Amino acid sequence: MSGGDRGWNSRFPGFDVLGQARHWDEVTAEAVLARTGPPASVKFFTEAEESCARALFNLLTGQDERDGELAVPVLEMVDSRLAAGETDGWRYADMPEDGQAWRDTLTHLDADAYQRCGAPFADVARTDQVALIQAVQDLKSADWHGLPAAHVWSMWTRYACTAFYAHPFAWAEIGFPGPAYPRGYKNAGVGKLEPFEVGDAHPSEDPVREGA
Amino acid sequence: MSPRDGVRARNESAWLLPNDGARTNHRLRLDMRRFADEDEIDLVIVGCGAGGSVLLQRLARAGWRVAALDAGPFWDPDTDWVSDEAGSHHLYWTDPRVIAGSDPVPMGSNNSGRGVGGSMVHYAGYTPRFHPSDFATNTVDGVGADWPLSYPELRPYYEQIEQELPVAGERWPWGDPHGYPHRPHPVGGNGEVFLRGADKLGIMAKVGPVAIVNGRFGNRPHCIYRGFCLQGCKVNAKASPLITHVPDALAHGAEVRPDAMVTQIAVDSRTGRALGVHYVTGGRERFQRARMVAVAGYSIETPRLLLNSASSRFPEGLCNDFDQVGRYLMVQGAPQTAGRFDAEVRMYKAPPPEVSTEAFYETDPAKDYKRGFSIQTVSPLPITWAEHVAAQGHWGPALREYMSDYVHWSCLGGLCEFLARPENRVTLADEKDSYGLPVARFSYSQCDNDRALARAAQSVMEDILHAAGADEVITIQRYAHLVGGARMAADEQHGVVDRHGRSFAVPNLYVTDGSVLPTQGSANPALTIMAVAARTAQHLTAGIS
Repeated sequence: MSGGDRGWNSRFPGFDVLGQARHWDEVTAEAVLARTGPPASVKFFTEAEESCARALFNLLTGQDERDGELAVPVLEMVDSRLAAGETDGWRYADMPEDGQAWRDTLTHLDADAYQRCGAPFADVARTDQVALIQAVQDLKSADWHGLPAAHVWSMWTRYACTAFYAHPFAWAEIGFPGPAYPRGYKNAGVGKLEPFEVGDAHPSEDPVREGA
Repeated sequence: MSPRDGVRARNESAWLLPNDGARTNHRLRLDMRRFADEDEIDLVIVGCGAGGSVLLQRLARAGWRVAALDAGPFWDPDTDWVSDEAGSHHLYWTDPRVIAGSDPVPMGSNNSGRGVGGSMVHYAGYTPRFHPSDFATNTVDGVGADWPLSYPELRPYYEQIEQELPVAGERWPWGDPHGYPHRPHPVGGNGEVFLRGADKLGIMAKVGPVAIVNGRFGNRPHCIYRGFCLQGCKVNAKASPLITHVPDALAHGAEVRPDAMVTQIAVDSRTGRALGVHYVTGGRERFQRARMVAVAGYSIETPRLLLNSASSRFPEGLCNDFDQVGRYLMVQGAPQTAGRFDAEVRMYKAPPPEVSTEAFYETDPAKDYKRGFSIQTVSPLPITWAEHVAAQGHWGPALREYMSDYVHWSCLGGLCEFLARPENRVTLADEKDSYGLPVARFSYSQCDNDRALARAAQSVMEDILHAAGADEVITIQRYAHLVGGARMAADEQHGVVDRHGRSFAVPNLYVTDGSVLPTQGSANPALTIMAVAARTAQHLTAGIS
């Protein structure tokens, strides 16, 4: 992992997603702007689950409470979905339904943390947290507390990414303008920008290219 | 009379929509005919998607007393749909389902729609025809099954539906070569990349075919290229039955009954004939009588409803005397390969469906696999793109860093003709849904030919992207679409319905959705589902054989 320099969130200087909200249709604007308001109170997770899940989501989405207020309230967004029973419409035969699977896997994560460090997951050092969840990912399809680790990992990342990349903060970071109705786009094509889009300040600095 | 006038004369849907900027004709819905449960109507249809809506419209035009019951809402694009990925979750069928087998297939947003319009509300919009070879893969290639129906028998219905949607695209050189009623759309960054890479390699690629109007069609406006096709088209530019067939059906006396979940088909134990359907609406159990029943709930819910309609006459499930219900369910292998460019592609700025090639569709005797694949632009939005990045193993700061590169990526999707296998099927799980009905369990496993096709498609997509100048490529393994599960066949020992969609077991029960397809080709299935339903309608109203 690349640590804390956070260079990636300055690739589109001056790009303002919310500044365009006046061009969005009313229904869409209401749905999107609700995500930027105060987070909903936690209804689904118990207190212990909440602490564990919050730490897990911060790690998975690269958010750090030490930076101050979290930009995207992933915990609350996932909690709202689970409280409403808003699943993706399927579960693997070897996993419980999503709500129960979340409760079970958070309990297992705490158990792993106790075993390794003698404290719940939320309370152990960040390096230990990273090691604990990296261990789950590394198991691939092998067993983790009676569940296939790959299916656990897929559920964790799917819920986390769905919440995080639903947020205008995340769109700003990746240069995506969000809603586009009723305006649409006039300048589609390689290298073309709308007046309200901002070009990448470092286009050739492919963050993933070998040696970059 | 121009062809366009011809369309209006047989399906006025596009002219029945408002032309004042609103997307729904509320008056038409308010004035809709409403049948009573006690009325023995001519036909009750279960499901108001691609198959059900076409049947509804055709039969209403022919003067039948017909109603379509749909488990989901009667959508209003203005108020129910948003120009946003996460906010479109309600467009998918998200009631519980269990997925199993060695290669389980995720459902929901991937392949299952909800509400009037069905999965065509969230499909990308690609509407290719099947190739003539798709109807005889067993004879031609020794794999899959032969249809009890030939391509020439379906061609007139393909032509009708292409005009009614209408479809835009270049003249199509593959399969049975044909043109399209609307000119091809201009392409965005992703389409440009595909065309450039394919051209360098000498692979023919074409713009289209997409059911997105290019120019005004009736009161449907031109596409605004906003890229949210998969979230429901708020513009009314992309075709779905909600705007292409339902308005005309209502104007001709059909009823659409939304929020009505059909729980069981009733069959007279003495005569063996269907009597109507049990359904739940507003928390109340009701029964609609009908002279004839058509099931159009798509490949998971149609078999599930048949299995949940077991009776003393059909102890193993309705129409399941020969253990055919739920079997031969197919999904296409749909690997998506993305390439990274220093230039900004911004693939979200155009409809995801732009360009495709069917150059690899047919069996290539030089290869060690049968049948083939097509390749199309796909253009995932950020949440879906995050799935691609997470699938590479990235999380935390690495995920964020990779994601910040979004505007530089172009993404192609393969559609591989995975073969129909009897063990790939829907059965009933022990788990119950909120209606107390057993949920579907869908077991799916690939065969060696399937895996070889997915590898081949990935390799071609990598070549195209590299040829276009990509410096890095990544691939995610996925599935797309559903067909089969109640297939048509020559006899009752090999399928559930005959060449007209009529069930072998119950003479007044039809299946008119994607479940009846015996093979899937490498084509998106919506157009074929509609064409087959239009043919069934013709059989019912004019008695074709």
